[in-house]
Amino acid sequence: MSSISSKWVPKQRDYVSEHKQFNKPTTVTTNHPLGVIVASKQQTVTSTTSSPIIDPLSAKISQVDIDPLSRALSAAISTNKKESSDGIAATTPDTFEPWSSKKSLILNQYSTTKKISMTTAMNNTNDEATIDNSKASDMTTTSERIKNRLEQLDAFEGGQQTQSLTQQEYINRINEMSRDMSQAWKSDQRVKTLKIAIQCCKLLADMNVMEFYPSKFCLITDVLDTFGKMVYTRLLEKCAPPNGKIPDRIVIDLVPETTRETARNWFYKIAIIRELLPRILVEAAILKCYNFLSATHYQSTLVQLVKMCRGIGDPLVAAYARCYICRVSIDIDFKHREPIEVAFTDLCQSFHQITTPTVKNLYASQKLTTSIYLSLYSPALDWVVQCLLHKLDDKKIEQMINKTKAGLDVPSGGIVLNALLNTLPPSHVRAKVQTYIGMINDCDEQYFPKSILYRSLGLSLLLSPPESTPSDIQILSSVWKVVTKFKDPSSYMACAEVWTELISKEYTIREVNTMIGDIIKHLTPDRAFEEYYGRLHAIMIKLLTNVEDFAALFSMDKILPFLDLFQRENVRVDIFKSILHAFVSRNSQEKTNDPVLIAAMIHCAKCVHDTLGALTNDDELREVSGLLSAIIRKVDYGKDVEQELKFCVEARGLFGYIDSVTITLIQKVNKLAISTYHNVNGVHSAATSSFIRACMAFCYITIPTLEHPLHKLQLYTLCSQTAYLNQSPSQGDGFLKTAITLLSEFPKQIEIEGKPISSDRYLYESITNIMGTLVVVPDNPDGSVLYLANGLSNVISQMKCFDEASETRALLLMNMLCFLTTQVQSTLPYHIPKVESNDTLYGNDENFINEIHQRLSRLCEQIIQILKDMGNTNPKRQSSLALEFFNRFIAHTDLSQPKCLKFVVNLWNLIQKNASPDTQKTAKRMLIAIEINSNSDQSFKHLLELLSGTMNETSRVSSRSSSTSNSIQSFNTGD
Amino acid sequence: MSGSVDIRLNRHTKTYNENDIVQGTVIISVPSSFKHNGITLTVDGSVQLHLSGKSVGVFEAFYNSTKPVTLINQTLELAKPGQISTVRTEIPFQIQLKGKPNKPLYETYHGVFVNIQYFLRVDVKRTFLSKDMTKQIEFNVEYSPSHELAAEKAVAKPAAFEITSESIRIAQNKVDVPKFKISGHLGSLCCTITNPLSGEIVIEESELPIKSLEIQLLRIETCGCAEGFSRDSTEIQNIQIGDGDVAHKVEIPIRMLFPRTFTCPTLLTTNFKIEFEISIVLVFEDDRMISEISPCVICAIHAPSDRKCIQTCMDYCINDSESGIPIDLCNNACTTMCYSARGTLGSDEFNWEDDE
Repeated sequence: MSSISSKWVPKQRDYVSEHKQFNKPTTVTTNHPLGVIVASKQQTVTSTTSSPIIDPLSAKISQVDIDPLSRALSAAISTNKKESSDGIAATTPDTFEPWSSKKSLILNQYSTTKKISMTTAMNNTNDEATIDNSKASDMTTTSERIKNRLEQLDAFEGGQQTQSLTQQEYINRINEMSRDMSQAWKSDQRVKTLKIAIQCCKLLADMNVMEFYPSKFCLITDVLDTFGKMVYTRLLEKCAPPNGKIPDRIVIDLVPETTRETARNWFYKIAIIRELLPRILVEAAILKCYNFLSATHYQSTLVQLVKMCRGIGDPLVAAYARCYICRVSIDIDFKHREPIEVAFTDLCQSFHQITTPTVKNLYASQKLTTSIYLSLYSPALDWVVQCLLHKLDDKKIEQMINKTKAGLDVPSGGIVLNALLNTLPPSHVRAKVQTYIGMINDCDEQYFPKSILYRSLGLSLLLSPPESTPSDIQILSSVWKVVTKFKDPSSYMACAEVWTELISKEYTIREVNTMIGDIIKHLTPDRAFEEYYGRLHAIMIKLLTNVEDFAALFSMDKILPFLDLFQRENVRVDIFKSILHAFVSRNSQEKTNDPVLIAAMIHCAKCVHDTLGALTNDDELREVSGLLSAIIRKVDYGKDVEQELKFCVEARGLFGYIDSVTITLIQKVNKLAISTYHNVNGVHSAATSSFIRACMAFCYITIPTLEHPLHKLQLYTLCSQTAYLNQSPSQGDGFLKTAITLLSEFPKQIEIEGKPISSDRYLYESITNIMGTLVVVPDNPDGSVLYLANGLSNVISQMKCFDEASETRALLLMNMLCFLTTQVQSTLPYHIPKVESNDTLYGNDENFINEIHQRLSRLCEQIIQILKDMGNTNPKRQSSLALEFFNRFIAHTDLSQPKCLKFVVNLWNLIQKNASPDTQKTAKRMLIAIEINSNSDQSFKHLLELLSGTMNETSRVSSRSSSTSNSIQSFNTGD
Repeated sequence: MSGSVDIRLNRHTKTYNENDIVQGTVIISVPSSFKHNGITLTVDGSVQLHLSGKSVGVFEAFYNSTKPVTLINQTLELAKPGQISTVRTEIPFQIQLKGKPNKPLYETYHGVFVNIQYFLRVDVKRTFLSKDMTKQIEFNVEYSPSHELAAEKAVAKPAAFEITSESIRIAQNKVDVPKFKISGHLGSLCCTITNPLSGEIVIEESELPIKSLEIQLLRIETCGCAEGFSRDSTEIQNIQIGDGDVAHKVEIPIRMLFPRTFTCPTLLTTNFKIEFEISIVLVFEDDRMISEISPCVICAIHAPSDRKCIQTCMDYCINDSESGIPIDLCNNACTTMCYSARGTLGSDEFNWEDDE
């Protein structure tokens, strides 16, 4: 049928029937083959649905999950525990906030940048003492002894050193002491251990840098706790019968006499510590060891210890010493209330001392205000009050509140009320909120700042959600009436931070607006806001998380003035980033078309975008670009596509710096075109088609601004496809033409994820994609036949980015062959609705077909040439490439033609020459496919016969070690 | 030839009453067998008396050290002369504590001028050329509840006190005393040795800020003999009960344990006396110090096997802040010797917990 002799004779194909043949009926899979096998237990399903929030990490594993053996074991353990009298078992219930959680809060809150001085004895006092001891034994007269003793004392004085340390150094020092202590204990130096513990306690008596005191207390009591635990564990070990197991609790009758003796000895040692504070603290640390002596002795001792704290002159030190005793007390027996009650009353009493000149001078000398000084008490008092209120019945709580109420005007009134607000159950505070507001108002500002009280009240209210929202406006107005009068911005902000959160949770947007307005009013004078960026940021975050309606939040008239408070650029960018994050993550599916909201977001986004520059690091760039893209995706005007296009145009102008945002915009416009296509059901009116052209034009001028050539190529292809789909072939042609032009100077290497990568693989994919598009592209009547395809194949043969060794060019040419083959068919494999492709345009015109045949044979020769050249340089690659060619050949050519058949057989022989194992495997698979096809197709049957014939022959040939050039010779004879 | 002798007592606490039977084991470990001329065990208990140089003069003190009063001296032969063959030999023993006629066994007491100590010594006599092997350990004696000296039961003798600047001015004839007033009470001036001294003290008023408030336990030791007698008071321990400027009008508890072996029930004999006093010390911010002394009787009411021994006291370093008080202000500065400074205790082993 063709006039030109060619090896490549396209076969006629019926795509519809082929398609049917390939699309065999399938069954839907329900299970992932690699998925975890889930036994569908009805029970578990219901349990998860009934309580949606189950923390998988929580220790409360439901009893069901335990196997029967361990269940029996756990039952045995629990009965054991019951035996040990519920009083002593240190199981404090859940409502009690454990010290460990308080501790981290305290350590964060009470820090300092000042230098802390630390006075410690030199380490080697122990050795000195022993040496001097032996010396002393030689002394005969008393006077000599005295002299020696005085020398020792002097030496000891000299041995003390005072260092100035930063906070971190101080912490390290204490940790070091703790380590030394454990070390000494392990090496059986118990005196040294005790000495270190005592030295630690002495540090607590040191009042310099008071702001750090609560943290210091935490650190040092940790050391004491370790000490107590070591002593206790050791005594417990000594309770073990010979070769027996160490008991896990104390049975008083079974404690051996030696253990009692040791325990008693410890208490005797501690009793002779001369100084008060170490004596109290160390005894408290090992108080648990009283259990080895008697079951109840600790009770009276605890009371005694608490009372001994009265002897501590400094009220702050005394308060923390009481706090520690309460900690020990609640640990040993939380039912024993007496020591805690004594501690509380003593603590309240001790606040009278604060007004004495001694104490006043002390904190004035460290430049602390009264309110800061008083706030240092708060952790200790909170703890004591928490211990006190723990499991207390309502009547007693009532009594206590009344007592506090009666004593509001005394120095301790405010701080005790604060502790109550911090520790009382939030539901209780919520119920009686008006009473508490009244109490706060009755407090004397000179003793304790009201701002802290209001803040505590707010925090407590936050923990207990009201019965209904919006909650009582009365509360807010009565509180704010006072707070708004605070002159000092720091105390005002302390309240505002908490109350803004409360308002955002429980009140309407109107109150939020008023509140923010109030904040602005307070912070504007003297540019006070500069000090409070942190708190303002926190407020904004709270608003973003709590206010449901984002649009309402940004339609408040005070929000922009509020955002204007953030005037330092980095703070401003941070807050905008937070806003954008909140907006994006709010509801990822939800779109918006609210102009106010969009304007606000774009404003924020612009600010964030404008900070980017050459110095921005990659991570930040990625974060910001992700954010901006997400924002763009969030905007959806629905049917108002023109508005949306306008938005994209604007956005392009604003965010030109980041490529990925531009890509998002192009994608968005494409999507817009497609959705328009769907809206009109594929039938464009004049208006819609001009809109499509507008979209395409947008893309056409935007894509060149991108830097990455691969992105450009892919987007050009995508846009051309969109254009063709929307029946604007001239635009599509334009895109493809630019894409093809782009190919001619495509770089050898492109950067993917920051690494330079050879562009071969990506080009193969992209160009093949373009060819796939070209199948349906109608020829431009003004141009020559297959103008674009022609251009593409020219570019492929001339592209500089392919190495000599690269086989991509050959593969692409082969694909080009396949493409041209489709153009000869009477019907194309696929069509675009309403677009007349070449099959309709040319209607199998003879000239057209001839033209294609010529091109086919030219291409074929080109490929054969490449194959030949490769034979000299890389026979293995030649073989695999030949296999690819073979594959395409048998798929697309008419094998009934003898020429084709002969060429195919030659190709097969070439494959067999230098096949690598991989190639062989593929070839074998291909043979099987031919075998299957041979059942239905006569020509394939013939091919199979020939192939199997040559197979035997070639094996003989190869055994005679024939050279490659031979086979090339035979391959050429096909001509 | 080296070897070692050791005595192990069965009773862990090493504390015995009169007439108790001391049981234990003598352990002799030597690298090779040797001959010996007999092994003996000796129980030795005595009261050592020193005259202090302060009251009788240095020379008298040096020459006229009074003879120790022997309370018990018993010897027991553990083995007849012979050969010790095995590497480690254990010889169990038991011996009854029975004092000399008319000599009761006083409680162990470690003081400055009076010491009451009991030792258990084992001697391995060796042949002419080699050195004898000896080992001595101290053990403690305390009164049994039925002991005649323990008969004086602690009768609660609560003592209220009030100290003011005026009272001090009269008593000590000091003009320059800051204005203050302290009141308080001690639970009892007649204390049981195992129970802590307790009481309360209130700073009613004070012109100057207070630096420290302390309770001091003093011992009064009297040695008497033909040549004369000396009476000295020295500090046993000093415990701080108030640190810094203590709040006024608040009851501060007084609590002090009597240190073991450094105190004993008050003892009055013809040759010597051991008595105790409690002193309340008030130090003002400018280091001026006020002290008020009141006598205190310690009684021994032991629950059986309640009081335990410690061989060596805590070393003085724990009390290092003693130095916080200017020495010259302390009445007893010259003799405020820490127990550790005394060599007589034979503290060759520092047995912290009596572990073994």
